[in-house]
Amino acid sequence: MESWGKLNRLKSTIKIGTLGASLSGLILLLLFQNCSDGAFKSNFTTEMNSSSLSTPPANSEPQLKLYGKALYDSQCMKCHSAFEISNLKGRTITSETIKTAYTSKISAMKFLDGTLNESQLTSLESIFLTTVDPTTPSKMSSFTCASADDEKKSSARLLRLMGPELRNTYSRLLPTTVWSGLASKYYLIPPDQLDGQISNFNGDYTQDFAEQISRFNEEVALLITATSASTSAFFGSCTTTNSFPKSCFDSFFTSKVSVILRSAVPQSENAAMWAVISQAPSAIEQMKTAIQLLFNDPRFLYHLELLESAPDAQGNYLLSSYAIANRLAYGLTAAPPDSLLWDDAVAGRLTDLGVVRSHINRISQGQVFKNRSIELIKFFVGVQNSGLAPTQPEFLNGLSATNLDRDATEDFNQFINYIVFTQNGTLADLFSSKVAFPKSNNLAQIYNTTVWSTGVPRQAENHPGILTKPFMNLVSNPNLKLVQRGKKIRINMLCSDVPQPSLTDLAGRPAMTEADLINLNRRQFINKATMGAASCIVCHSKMNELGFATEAYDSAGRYSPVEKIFNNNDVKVAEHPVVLASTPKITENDSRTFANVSEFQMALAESDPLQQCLTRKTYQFLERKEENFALDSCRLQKMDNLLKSNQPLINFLTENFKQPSVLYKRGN
Amino acid sequence: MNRFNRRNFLKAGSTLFTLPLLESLTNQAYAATASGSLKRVLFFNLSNAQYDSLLFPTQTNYSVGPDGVRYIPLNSISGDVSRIFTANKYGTLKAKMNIMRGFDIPSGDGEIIPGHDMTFALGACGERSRTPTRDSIDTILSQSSAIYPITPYKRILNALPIKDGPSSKYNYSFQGGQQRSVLGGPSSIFTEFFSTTLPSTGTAPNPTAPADTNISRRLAMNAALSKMTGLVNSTKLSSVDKVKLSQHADFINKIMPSLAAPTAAPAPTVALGSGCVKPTLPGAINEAITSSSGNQARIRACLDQIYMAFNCQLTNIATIHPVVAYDTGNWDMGDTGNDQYHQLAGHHYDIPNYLKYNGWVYDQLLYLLNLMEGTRESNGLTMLDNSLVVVVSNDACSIHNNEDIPVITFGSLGGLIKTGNYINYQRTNAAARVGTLDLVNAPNSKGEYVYRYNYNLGRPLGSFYTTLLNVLNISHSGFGSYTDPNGNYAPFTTAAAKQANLPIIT
Repeated sequence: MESWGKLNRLKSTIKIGTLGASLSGLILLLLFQNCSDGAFKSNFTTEMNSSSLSTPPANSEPQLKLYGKALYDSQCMKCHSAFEISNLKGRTITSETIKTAYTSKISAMKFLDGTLNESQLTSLESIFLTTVDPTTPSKMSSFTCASADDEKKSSARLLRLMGPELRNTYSRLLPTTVWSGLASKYYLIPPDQLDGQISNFNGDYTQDFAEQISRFNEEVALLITATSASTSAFFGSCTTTNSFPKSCFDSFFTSKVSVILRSAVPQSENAAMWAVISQAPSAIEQMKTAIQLLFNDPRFLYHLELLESAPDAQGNYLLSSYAIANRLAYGLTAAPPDSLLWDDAVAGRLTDLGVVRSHINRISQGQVFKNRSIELIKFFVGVQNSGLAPTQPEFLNGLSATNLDRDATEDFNQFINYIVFTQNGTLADLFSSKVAFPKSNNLAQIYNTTVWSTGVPRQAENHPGILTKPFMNLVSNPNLKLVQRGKKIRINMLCSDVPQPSLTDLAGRPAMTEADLINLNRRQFINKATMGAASCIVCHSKMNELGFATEAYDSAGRYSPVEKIFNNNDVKVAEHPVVLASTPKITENDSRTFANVSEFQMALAESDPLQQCLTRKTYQFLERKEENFALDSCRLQKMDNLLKSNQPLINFLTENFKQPSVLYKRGN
Repeated sequence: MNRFNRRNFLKAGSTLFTLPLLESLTNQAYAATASGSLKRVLFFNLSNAQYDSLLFPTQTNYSVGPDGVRYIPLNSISGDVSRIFTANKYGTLKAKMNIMRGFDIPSGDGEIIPGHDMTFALGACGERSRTPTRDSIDTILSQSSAIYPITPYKRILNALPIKDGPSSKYNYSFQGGQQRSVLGGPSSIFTEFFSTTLPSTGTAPNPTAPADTNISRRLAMNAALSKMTGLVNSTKLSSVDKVKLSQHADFINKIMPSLAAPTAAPAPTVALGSGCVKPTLPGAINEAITSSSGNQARIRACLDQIYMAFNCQLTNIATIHPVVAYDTGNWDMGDTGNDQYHQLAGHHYDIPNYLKYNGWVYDQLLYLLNLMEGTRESNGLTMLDNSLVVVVSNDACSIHNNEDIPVITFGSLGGLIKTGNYINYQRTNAAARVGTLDLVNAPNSKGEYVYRYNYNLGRPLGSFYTTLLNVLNISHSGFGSYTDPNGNYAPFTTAAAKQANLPIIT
């Protein structure tokens, strides 16, 4: 009972979401650590000293005979929500990370200690990553655009305001003190830790959510009407908590209602709204009614795009300037239109594609879009937060692991910003540039450069391209997690399906021994462990070699020609020279061998699958919905062409909204 | 058998209205705070599994009632009904209790969710979200004029026997999705209910309608609904968009009943119980959760005060968890030895050992039941007859799940609930389609069960609370979300089904 009590307290913490410091710690630990091949490690240590293990061996009889999602449902769902809506879904959470969490980091997970064997941990690890959103078709499609008419086509899905969009919209519209005063009520609106997760936007409008948003709006009304200062700040100085004359509502209606509802609101609605508002018995109740009436209006809650014009011959409706403004603003900044965009919406100028494009160029130079682009790239590579570095002194060899994750994250952010916005770089630059931004001695040590604080970036000669950034490779286990690295590339950057291993597959894995760990190099060890059965080869042949290509980068992100092998007792048991060359099948019939990670990354960047995958994921991130190959192909093809012609990434990232289809909506 | 069925209750009621309420005259001092009704509901909330082999009869000679529901009249069982409900202890209460099983919490993906969640037990959350978003059933009752024709001294008594510690995990009472504050320990109950001079003589105030606190939200949501309906009926939305807005409009429709304007309360018709006596402050009771002794004295001091708060009509709704000291260590169960509650109850299906604990818990409840049964009230019924004591757990008959939750009731709420039956609401033709259950329904190497499931699907637990609202004429739109994408609970998720009563008890 004590343990479930803690679980419930933890759950409450999670509900409060990003507000709690405890959650940030949890996220760091649980959500975004990179890559472990812990299954192999534990197998051999079992034979060495099983009594010291917190995790029973892979072939031991678990107390709870569940695997994968069934295991998640029974043990994890209580705190982490149903799997489909869990923020763990689609993340890289290794078995090692899970084990570390329940053995030493998170007391509320102690109840798991000693109950799960390695196969079960691996099965959890698998469901988290293999179910990464969005679910993608196993075969890539070529994007085609048959005619100019098709350029107006686009798929449509009614989106509601969610996550950061909802919060950014409220914060823009409410007085600062009111918005900050609502902090304890944030649990009523969707959390923001799912940025970039398409599933965040695909959920149906559940009754609970309808109730919650309605209750949240009631809280908004209560706070705005709490003092005359706040009523004045929201409605205008002609109001107090005891007075809300019609003339005040009139001026409020003229100045703010259209902005709140993000659309043209005819004057005739003034009377209709007041007819409702005036039914309330007092000024304060009238103001509360007005507030809730607006914030529960479908024009506020949804990205409504009304069919207000006659359709063209192909069934495309020209959108209003307001709808177009909202498309741009929320797509590019996850926030309502800024004043310049809004002015052109009001003036009806946004049905001109040239005007639209000028706004896109302007907005894309702003910091908000830059930050959003960095999140987009993280969404693409499948890593949203850095893992934690190993702590074994013998592995670190004088390097300090303190704040390495923080420094690596900042370096990565600076890297993307520099390549995309400062350098106007290309996809090839992203996968080849050696620039680095080590703000700490530790990171400079990893890059083998001097510390950077501002100005010209450092050149890290052994760290070309995005795959060599410490942000991508930090993981707490000192032994290389190459399968997980490969899996990340295959799933996130090549948009391929990697199915979850079956229980039979997991049960049939060979038992790895200490001798294997000591005598086999990393590649031999992994291949022996994963390529023994035909059903395993299907997937691992697509993943292992992709990860092998990055073998020269250790778990702290260092370029290292030798890998030190540690057992579960943190004892170094072997050293193996790393192999630089690899033969990853980027495409199905690819038989090329690349001499090093630089060659591999260039081939990756030039490959159709990666370019198409980046195109699709960019569309998904900016549009907050999955693409439709039948209707969105023109737009996707235009974007893809920019990558194929090695155009600057900034052009690619903004191309989605520059296409004619941004002005139109399909009628069905 | 059921002396207090609806017909007999009406008879009793007519008698009541002709009586001069003589017994209450001596207690006019409390008249100003009388709740105006003899209907009380106590929720006795348990944690952890309530094992089937301890609670339920072993007999299977069911009769089949409406809707195929199986039941066995308890008076047809000679001797002990079960290992907990023995003839010695419960023989005189058999006709006044129901032993029900087969209540489930449907989960979002059609599988059975883990137990141990107090947000479910009294229905504070939708089954799928697991996030408390609304009032639990005790809160809904406490706000009803069916329970309080006039404003009572306190609408609800929410207590725990312990003063400190992690009270939130034993707190099942929610209002608007937030946990209600708890009176921790008997001294807190005393301070809240009995420390000041009770209101002096006077007449009961004229009933007044509660303030309409929902008016702005109701007006706004009506307007939003109208707006959505207008859009759905217009040609400005694509067909796909219309579906989504229609869905939202449906949800608003479901919210609206809870926002209805309150109606004026009827005049009070009854007054105080004859035994209303201000209790004395319990002394020398260690209320700290770290205290591993004195559990029995502590909980009984709470139950004494709940009884008296009922008797004096200071409140008609109470909810309590008989939590003891830290369950991770040894604790004194009175005269029955030491044990570790959670390890026995939640994890190991250790029937013999758990019987000691579970029996102790029910013994404490029996103490209160006997007090209530021994109090004859102004309408001629005992306090227990007029009341409904609901025993529910945040776990089920099995271990760590919310399938086959037992609900034990005592009393008939003045004849509104039929009593005297063992009722199995599991559906004989609907087995849970969860293949993984086979994997977990086995003891581990130590012979202990970490998880254990039954297999037959039953009915949503919310249907019991729906029935409670129905018999009290409290309007509602169905209790619980019943989210059930796999259709396992389809017979109970329609709008009509959500309004329906449970068979056998009505």
